Amino acid sequence: MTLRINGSDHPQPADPRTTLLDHLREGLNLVGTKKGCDHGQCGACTVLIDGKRVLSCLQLAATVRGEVTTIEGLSGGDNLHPMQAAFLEHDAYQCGFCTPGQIMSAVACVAEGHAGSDAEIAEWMSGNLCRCAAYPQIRAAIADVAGQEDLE
Amino acid sequence: MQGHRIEGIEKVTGRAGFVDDLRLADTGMEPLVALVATAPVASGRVSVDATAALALPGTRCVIDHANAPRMRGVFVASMCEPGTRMPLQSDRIDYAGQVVAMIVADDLQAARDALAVLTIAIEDGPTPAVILSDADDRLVPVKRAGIGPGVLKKGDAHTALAAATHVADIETHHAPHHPNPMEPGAVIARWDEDGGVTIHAAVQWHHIDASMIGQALGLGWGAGPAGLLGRAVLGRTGKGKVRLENHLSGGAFGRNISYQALLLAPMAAKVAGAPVKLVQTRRDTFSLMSHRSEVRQRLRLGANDAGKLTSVVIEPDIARGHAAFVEPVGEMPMQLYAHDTHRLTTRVAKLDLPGAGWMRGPGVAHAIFALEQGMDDIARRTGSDPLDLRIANHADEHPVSAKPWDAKALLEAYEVGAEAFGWRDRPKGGSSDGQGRWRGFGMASAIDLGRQFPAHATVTLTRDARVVVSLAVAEIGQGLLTGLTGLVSEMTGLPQDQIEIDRRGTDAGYAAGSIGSTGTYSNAAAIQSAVEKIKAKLARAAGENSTEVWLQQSALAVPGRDPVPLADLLAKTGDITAKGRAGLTFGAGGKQAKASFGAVFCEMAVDPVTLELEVVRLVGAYDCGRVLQPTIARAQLVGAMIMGLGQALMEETRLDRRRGNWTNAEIGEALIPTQADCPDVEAHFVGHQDGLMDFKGIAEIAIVGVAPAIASAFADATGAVIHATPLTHARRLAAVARPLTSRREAAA
Repeated sequence: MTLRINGSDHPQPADPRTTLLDHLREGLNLVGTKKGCDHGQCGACTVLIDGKRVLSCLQLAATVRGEVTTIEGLSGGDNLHPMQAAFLEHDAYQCGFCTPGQIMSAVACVAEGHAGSDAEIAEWMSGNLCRCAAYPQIRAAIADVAGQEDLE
Repeated sequence: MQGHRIEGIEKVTGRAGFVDDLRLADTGMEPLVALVATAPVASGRVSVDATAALALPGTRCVIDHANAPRMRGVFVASMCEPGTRMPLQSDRIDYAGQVVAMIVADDLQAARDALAVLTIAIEDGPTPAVILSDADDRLVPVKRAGIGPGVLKKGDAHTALAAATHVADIETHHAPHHPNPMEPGAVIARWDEDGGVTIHAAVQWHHIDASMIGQALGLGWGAGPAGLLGRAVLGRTGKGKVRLENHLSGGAFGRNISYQALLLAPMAAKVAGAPVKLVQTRRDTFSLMSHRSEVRQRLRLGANDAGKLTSVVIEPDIARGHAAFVEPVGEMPMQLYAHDTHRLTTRVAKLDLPGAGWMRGPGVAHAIFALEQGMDDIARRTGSDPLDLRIANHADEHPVSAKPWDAKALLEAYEVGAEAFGWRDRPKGGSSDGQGRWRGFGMASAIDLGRQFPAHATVTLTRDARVVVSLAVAEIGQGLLTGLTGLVSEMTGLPQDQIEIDRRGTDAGYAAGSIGSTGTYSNAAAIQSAVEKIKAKLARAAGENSTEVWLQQSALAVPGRDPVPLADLLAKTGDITAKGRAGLTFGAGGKQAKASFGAVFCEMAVDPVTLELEVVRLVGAYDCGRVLQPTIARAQLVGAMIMGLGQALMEETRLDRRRGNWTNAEIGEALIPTQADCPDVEAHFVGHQDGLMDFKGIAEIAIVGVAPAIASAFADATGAVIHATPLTHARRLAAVARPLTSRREAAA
C-alpha cells in the first residue's frame, strides 16, 4: 500500500495508529501542514484529499484512499497558486502559522461553491482559526480568487 | 509596503520554519523528542513510577523531581514563569498542570506511548483556592502591582466622592483567559563541547530569555544578570554559553513559548546525552504558559453638575498564580480623563494556579472596561450622550503628572470614529433592526502607554552598499521585519533588497523585545542612532563638516552641492560599522507624556427572546503615532479589535474549584473568535505623524476599548448593564430584567 501525496507515491507508516498529520510531518518531512491542536478544533492541519478538505490530525494515514494535496503540492516550484498569491496581496496572514491550513481550506471553499458572498465565506471558513484574526483579509483574498474564477 | 511582507512567500508556501518544523538541514540535529506529564490536581506530593515507560524500546529516559539535574533560581525581568519554583525540583505540587515528569524518547509516537504508561501517584494535599471568591483570606494589600502601581493618591478622593453631584458605583468581574497563539510551541536543545548550550526557540525578548536559561543552568555570570546588563546597558555582544537561535513565532499575544520549556529542553538533553526537542501540546500550553488573571474591581466615579470628574476611586482585587507577575490593573485608568482627585487601592491574592502573565493590553484591557462602564453610568445620570461626556472630560494634559502630551489626537479619534460610524445619527437603543432584533449602540475610549525600552543595534554599511543591521528582534506576526527594513531603507536611501536584518542569534545586538507595543519604537531608535554615526563618517569622507546631510538614492546629499555617490565614498572608507542605542522611557517618564489613544464604536443586534447577540459593526479610530506600513498596522488594529470581541463575548478559561485545573483547556473549548464571529471591522488612523521617530504603539491599544464598547451596546439594546467579561449567554439571560418568552410578546 502506498499513499499518493502531491503527485508522488509515498510509503504508508509502519504504525497503523499514525495520523495523516503525523505521517506527513514526522514520517515524510512535509512540515508545511501545521499542528495547532491535534484534536480537530483549529483547522491548521487542513489538507485536500481528492480536492475535499480534511483535517489531517483526525484521519489515520492507513485509511486514506485518494490523492492527498498539501501546501507543498499546491503550486509548482516558485509559481504561486492563485490563492497563495491572493493571500500575499491581501496580507491575509500575520504570524503565518494557520496560513497553510487557511489556504488549503480556501481552495476547497471556492471549489465547493461556498465563496458566493462575504457571509458565505465567513461561514464556510469558520473551521480555520486565526488568533491574529486576519479574518477580513482572508475573506477578501478568497472573494478575489472566487471572483477571478467567475470571470473565466 | 512594496507588495507584501518580507517573509510572506515563506508563509504562504508553507516553507516558513517554526521550531517544530525544523529538520536536520535547518539545525544540524536529529533530536530525540520530549513530552511532559502534568499534575491533574493543584496540591499534594507526587511520586512517579517509570518502570513501564522505561520498558518500552523507544524510551530513552524519564525525568522527574527525583533524578532531575538541579537548577538555580532565576531573575526574570518579565516576572512570569518559571515562577516561584523551577520545574522538576520538588515533589510538591503548587498548581494543576504543573510539570511532574518528562519523557524523552526516540520519536513523537514513542514519547506518547511512554507517557501513556507512566504512573503518577499523588498524595492529596489541601483543597486549593483557584478563584477570587474562594480566597478572601488570601487577599493582601500591595503597594506595587507588577510593573504598575498598587496604590495611588491625588487629593482627597473620598471627600470629593461624598461631595459629588453624580456618583457611579460599580463592581466588575473579569474571567481569566489565555493568549492561545496558534503555534503550540517547541524548543530544541543541544549541549556543546565547550559546556554551553545551543537552543532553537521562538522567543519575544531574546537576551532576557537567554539570560534566564544561563542563570538556571549555571552557565556563568556572563550568561546571567551581569552578562544581561552588559548587553542591555553597554551594548556588548558575543555568543556566550547560551546560544539561542530565534525563529519565526506562530503568534504570541503575551507568550509564545513557555519559560519552563526553555529550561526543560536543555535539562532533557543533558540527561539523555543527546539533542532533544521538547514539544508542547495544546493542552500543555494552558498551564506551562501564562494566562491573563482573574480580576474584580470596585470603581467609583464622582462628577459635578456638568458631568466633569471630581473623583476616581478604584479598588481592584487581582488573582496571581505561582509567579511574581501581577496584572497591572491600576496603571492606566488615572491617565485617560481629567479629574480632580483619585485613589487606587489594590489587593492581590496568590492562588494555586500557574503563573499569570502578560497578555495583549495587560492590566489596561480589564481596567478600562470598568472605567468606561463608570463613564456610561455618569452619562446616564447626567443625561449626556456618552461621547459628549467623554469629550467634556478630555485630559488636555497628563492627568497625573500634569506634563504636556507629546502628541494627542483623542478628540480627532472621537470625531473620525463617530463620523465613520454615524454615531450622531444612530437609531434609539432598543429599536427594531427590521428583523425583530433590538439594536444597540455603544462606544468607549482607549489608552495605552507609549514606552521605549533599551536597545542596541549594530549597523554596518558595506563597501558594496549593503546594510546589515544586527539586532535580536522577534517576528511574531506583527510585521516588525518588514517595518524595520522599510525604515532602514528610508534612513539610508538604499533599496530594501540591499538591507538585511541579522536577528536570529545571541550575538546579534540587544534588542527591545516584541512586547508591550514597544518593538518598533525602541529598536528603530537604536538603529537610527547608528545610522546617524554612519552618515557623519560619510560626510567627513566627503569633506563636509555639516551634519545636515542625508542619504538618498545611493548617494550622500549635501546642501549646496551635487550629491556624492555612495560608491565613491565607500571606496575611500571601506565598510563602516556603528553602534546605536535607545534608552528607557515609560509613559510620562520624560518631559512629555506619551500614550496611544483610541475611540471604539459598536453596533449590536440582540434577539429579544433568546438574547443571542450579533456584533454587527466595530469602528475604531486610533492615534498611535507614526505608522510605518499602513497595511500591516491596520491588520494589527483589526486583529486586536477582534481579540477584544473575544474578550467581551467568549474568552474565559474556567476552573474546577475542587481539583484546581482548567476545565476547558482546548482551543476549541476555551473559545476564541472564529471567522463566523467576525463582524464588519473598520480601523482608522488619526493624529498623523510623519517624523522619523514619532512612534507610539500599535499592537495593544486596539484591544483596549472594544469590550466596554460592546458591553455598552448591549446595555443600550436591552437596558441591562453586565459588569463582567465575558458577556456569556448565561450572564445575558440573568441580566435582562424580564426574559421574554416569544417573539410576539417582544413585538408587542
